Parts: sequence; structure tokens; C-alpha cells
Amino acid sequence: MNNMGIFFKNNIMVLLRNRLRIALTIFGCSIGLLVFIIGNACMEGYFYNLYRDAYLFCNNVVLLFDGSDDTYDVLENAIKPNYSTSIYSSGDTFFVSSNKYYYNGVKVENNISYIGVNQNDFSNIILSKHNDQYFCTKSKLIYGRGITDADIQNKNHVAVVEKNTAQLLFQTDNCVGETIEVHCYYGYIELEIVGVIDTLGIHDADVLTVKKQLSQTDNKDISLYHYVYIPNTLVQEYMKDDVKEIRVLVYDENNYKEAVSGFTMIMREMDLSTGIVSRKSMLQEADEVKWNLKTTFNIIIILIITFSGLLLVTIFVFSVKERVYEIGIRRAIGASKFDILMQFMLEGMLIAVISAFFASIAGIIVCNFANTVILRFFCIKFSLGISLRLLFATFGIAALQGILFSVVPAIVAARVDPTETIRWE
Amino acid sequence: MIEMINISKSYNGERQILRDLTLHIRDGEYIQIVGGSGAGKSTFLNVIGLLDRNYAGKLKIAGRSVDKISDTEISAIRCCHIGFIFQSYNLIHNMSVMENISLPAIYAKGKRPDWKKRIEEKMSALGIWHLKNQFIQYLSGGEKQRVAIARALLLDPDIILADEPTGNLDVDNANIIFETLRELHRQKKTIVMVTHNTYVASGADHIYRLADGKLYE
Ligand SMILES: Nc1ncnc2c1ncn2[C@@H]1O[C@H](COP(=O)(O)OP(=O)(O)OP(=O)(O)O)[C@@H](O)[C@H]1O
Ligand SMILES: [Mg+2]
Repeated sequence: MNNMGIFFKNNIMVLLRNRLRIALTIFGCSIGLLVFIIGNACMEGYFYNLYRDAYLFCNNVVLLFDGSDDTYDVLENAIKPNYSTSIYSSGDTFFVSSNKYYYNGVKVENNISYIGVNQNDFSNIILSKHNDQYFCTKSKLIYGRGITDADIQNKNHVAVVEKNTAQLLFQTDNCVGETIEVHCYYGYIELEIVGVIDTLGIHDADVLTVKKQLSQTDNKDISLYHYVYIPNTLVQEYMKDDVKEIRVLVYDENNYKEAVSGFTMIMREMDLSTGIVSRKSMLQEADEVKWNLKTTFNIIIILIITFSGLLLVTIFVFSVKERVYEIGIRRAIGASKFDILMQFMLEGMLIAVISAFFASIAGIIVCNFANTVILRFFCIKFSLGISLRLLFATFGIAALQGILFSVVPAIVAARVDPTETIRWE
Repeated sequence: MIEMINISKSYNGERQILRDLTLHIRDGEYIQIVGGSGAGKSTFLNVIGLLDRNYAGKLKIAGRSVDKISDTEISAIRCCHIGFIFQSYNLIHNMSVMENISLPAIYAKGKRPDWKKRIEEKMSALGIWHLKNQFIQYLSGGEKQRVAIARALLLDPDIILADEPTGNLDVDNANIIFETLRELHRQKKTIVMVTHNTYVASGADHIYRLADGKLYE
């Protein structure tokens, strides 16, 4: 047995022997650290989603405006000639029918929205939206044809649907030639399906939702959102009042910045109070939210850690009082003030690090549990992840806390006068 | 080994416990100090054992003046050169016998013997090896005192200070302790032992009586 071994045995094992005190201290400390870990994991998850939305917001190619007539006119007349863009208008109040389709015994209700298309770009990137997120996806025409310039010019009653829509409406992929009847403000219009494109990027969560809902045996309706692509001129003619938003796709990524400022300027000149949403603005918003959240969270964490630290101080000072006799003996047989100081600092550190260890394990368990529950009951793939960085931070904070808050008790302990204490018994 | 020159000590400046004591304890000498209760015997030992540093006068240990040296140095001397056997055993209760005895090893910086062997040696010599994993509160007075002695002797100190080592013990146990001290005397250790009365047949070289803060042969 070397000095280290003796040191370990006599300082650390003995420390751990006072179980109740240690358990309480570690518990108090762990709670603080656990809040730190889970809070951080939640924030990281939230930020991840926030930024994912922003980044998924079409690789520099989309702008969004609200759907007023003026906006549309501005886009058509002032913007389109200057930038290589495609303009879509879209709204939600577009019913194919109120039919409910049966899918494995479950009623499937189709909510179909229209997207007005301005040019035949089904061989190009197409803008789609799922779960309030915009995607620019490369589409692929699998049957029939796309919407042609002639369709647009002549306001032909034609439509292109996605494959999954075709399946749900007609139980077949290839529904070219079929007719759908749509309700709109002006009444009914009939549209001939001229083309089917591959299903556009459905979000993970969508798939999960559907799978989940389908797996449940009760006869609950499930809703699927589909888009039907029609010539924009039709939208102008029949559904103008329903248009909720106009999306602009800027094909040339290099032009994007310029286009955004161009749009913004023109819109401002025309005194249109519409909001422009771009990836940049989303990122900016995300940054802002992140900063605000982080600041708030950090303040809360500092408070929590201070409180759990004060708990440490109290318990430690208390334990010094209780251990005066032991300290006196240690001093009497040769421990210097410094030795005692170090012993108490070390104890503080050790307790803090053990707390960090427990807090980390608890954090990992809680996060995994939460992930499962959220996925199972809310169908949201919200992953609370504990990164290595977070674990390091936890241990760092714990160590710092241990040192900071054991300084006072350690100094109190080091000042114990051996002659005062060894008289007792 | 221990040189006291005009040592005075009072608590709170009122009660003079030690008055102008001058005493030279040579290497390997065995000194016994007797005195009534409250005479200041423990105080005397605390001063020469470097526990109590609020005294007037000059104190030298092994030729070195210790009046003004730092806490770290004092602690090192206390640790490695002085073995203190306290009046009340002063063992730590939530530690085992073995842990109590090994305690000085933590503070013996620089010394690196095979502690385990050393501890076993000391404990066997005092007949307490079988108690190694016991906790202090379950020991008898005689056993506690032997544990305290084993702890005091762990680092082979040159000076042994014993404050009424047999105060609470029966005759048999007391004899074991005295025999241990005589054995240490034979090993040329410097020993200062404090007792209530001279009745004890200690085999000391000199016996002093402490009264009114003075020492009398
Ligand atoms: N810290 C202190 N403050 C004030 N007075 C003290 C202090 N320590 C000891 N005394 C007093 O000093 C006197 C001597 O005490 P000391 O313990 O040295 O006596 P003693 O000779 O060892 O007695 P005993 O034989 O009972 O152990 C006592 O009257 C005691 O009350
Ligand atoms: Mg005494």
C-alpha cells in the first residue's frame, strides 16, 4: 500500500461512510445538474428543429408573400421579368370531394390544396410544403405530361397530381385521363389529370403520423394533405380570393440575394405590407430565438446552481462543525492547515463529480424516455440528445461548483484549533 | 532533544499555567511528569508537542528553534518526529482501527515505506492485529489506548509524548502500556510521560513534579 492508497482509503472511503449526509448532498447537487442537462438537451433539440426548418427552407430558392392581388400583380409585372423565377400561389380551401376513402379499414380523409403553377417545371425543382415546412425537391414526371405554357395561357382545366394522391383518389398510380371535380368560390370546376409526378419529399414525421394512425384500430379519421398542381391562371380566374400565400422560386441561387433585396424594395415602394420570408429571415429569427432562450436559460441555470451550491456550503459547514473533533485529531497527528483545506476541497469536488455522474445517467435515462413517449403519443420525432459536449460541460460545472462551494467550509475546517478539540471526549 | 527556555503559558492572559519553565530533555531520556489535576500537565505537553503555539519563551526541538516557523513545517515535525499519546485516546470514531492507525501516513510526505507491513508490525507488537477491521466505538479502553499508541508509533518518531496513557485503565492494561514505553526507552526514544502521581513504577530517568507552573525534581 502506498501513500496514495492510504490517502484514498482514509479520506475518500471514510467520507463515503457518512451515507445520509453524502446522499443528501449528492441528491441536491444532482438535481441542479440534472436540470442543467435536461434543459440543455431540450434547448438543443429545439434549436436543432428551428435551424433545420430554416435550412430546409429551400436552398436559397424561395420567398414567401401573403396572397393579396397587389402582391401577385407586383410579382407578375415587376419581378418576374427581372429574375428567373417561378411563382406559385396556393390555398387550402380546395376540395376534390368530401369522400372518405377506406384504407385498411380506416377512414382516410383527403385534404387537398391547390398549387397554381406558372410554368412547366415538373422536370425541375418544385416547391412543396409538408407540415408547414417548405421543400425544394426535384420532381419526376412518371405518367403523362406536365403543365404546359399553352395550358397556362389558355387556362386549360388540367391538373398534375402526386403519386400518392393518385393512389388515394383512384387506387392506381396512373390516373392520367381521369377527371376530378373541385369546389371553389365560384362553384365547381372539372379538371383533367394530365400527369402524375413522383411523391414529393414527405417529411419523416408525416410518414410516422400516418403509420401510427393506421396502426391504431379505432375508426378514427386520418387526414392526408395533398397538393394538386394546376395552371396559375386558373387560380387567378377561380380561386383568387382563397390564395393564402404566394411562393416564389428563384431558380438561380446566385441571384437569390439580389432577388430578395429586389423584391423587398419593390414591395416597400408599392407600400405592400406583406411579410417576406426567406431562409435568411428564418435564420435571423432562429438566431434571435436562440439568443433569447439561451440567455433566459443561463440565468435560470446560474440561479439553480447557486442554490444547489448554497446547499453544498450549508451541508459542508455543518459537517465541519460536526467533524471538528476529527479535524482536531488530524491536525494533532500532523496534518497541516493546507492538508485539511485540501481534504475538504477534495471532498467537495468528489461529491460534485459523483453528482455529475448521477445527473448524467439520470439525464440520459430521462431523455431516452421522453423521446420514446413523445414519439409514441405525439408522433413527433423530437430527439432529446445528450451530446458529449454537454456531458463535459456538466462535469466541468460540477467540478467548478465543488471547488467554489467547498472553499468556505474548507477554510473554516482549516482554522480548527487542535488543542481546543482534542480535550473533548 | 527538547530545549525549553523560559517558557510561560497563560490562558486568556489571566491564569498563568506555566511560569518561566526551563528544561532540557536530552536524546533518549525518559521523563515523567506528575502533578495534580489542573496543574497544567496537558498544557505542558501541548506546548512541547507543538500543538499549542501560544506561549512565551523559546522552544527548540532537535536543536532547531520552532517558535516562529510556518504551520506546514510545524505540522511536518509533529507528524514525523513526535508521537502523541493523548489523555483521551482521540481516535476517529467512524473509522476502523486500521484506518485510524494509518492516518499519520497520509501526512508523512516523503516517507514511503511499505505501509501495510509497517502497520501490521506495530499492531502485532501491541497485540491488536486481530482488531484491525473493528470500529473504534466497539473497543475497550485498553484496546483504544493501544490503538492510539500504535498510531503514535507508526512513523517511528524520535519523541514520544504520553498524556496519562494509563489514566482510564486497569493494572494489567496499564502494565502493558508501561512495558511498551520501557521498550521504547530501550530503543533510545525520547519519552515524556505525564501521570497523576508518582505511585506508577515507570522506570523513568527523571521524575518532575509540576505545581504552580513550576517544575520540581
Ligand atoms: N483552552 C483553555 N482555556 C482556558 N483555560 C484552560 C484551557 N485549557 C486548559 N485550561 C485550564 O488550564 C489548567 C490546566 O489544564 P491542563 O489540562 O493542562 O491540566 P492537567 O494537569 O492536564 O489536568 P488533568 O490531570 O486533569 O488532565 C486547567 O485549570 C484548565 O482549566
Ligand atoms: Mg491533562
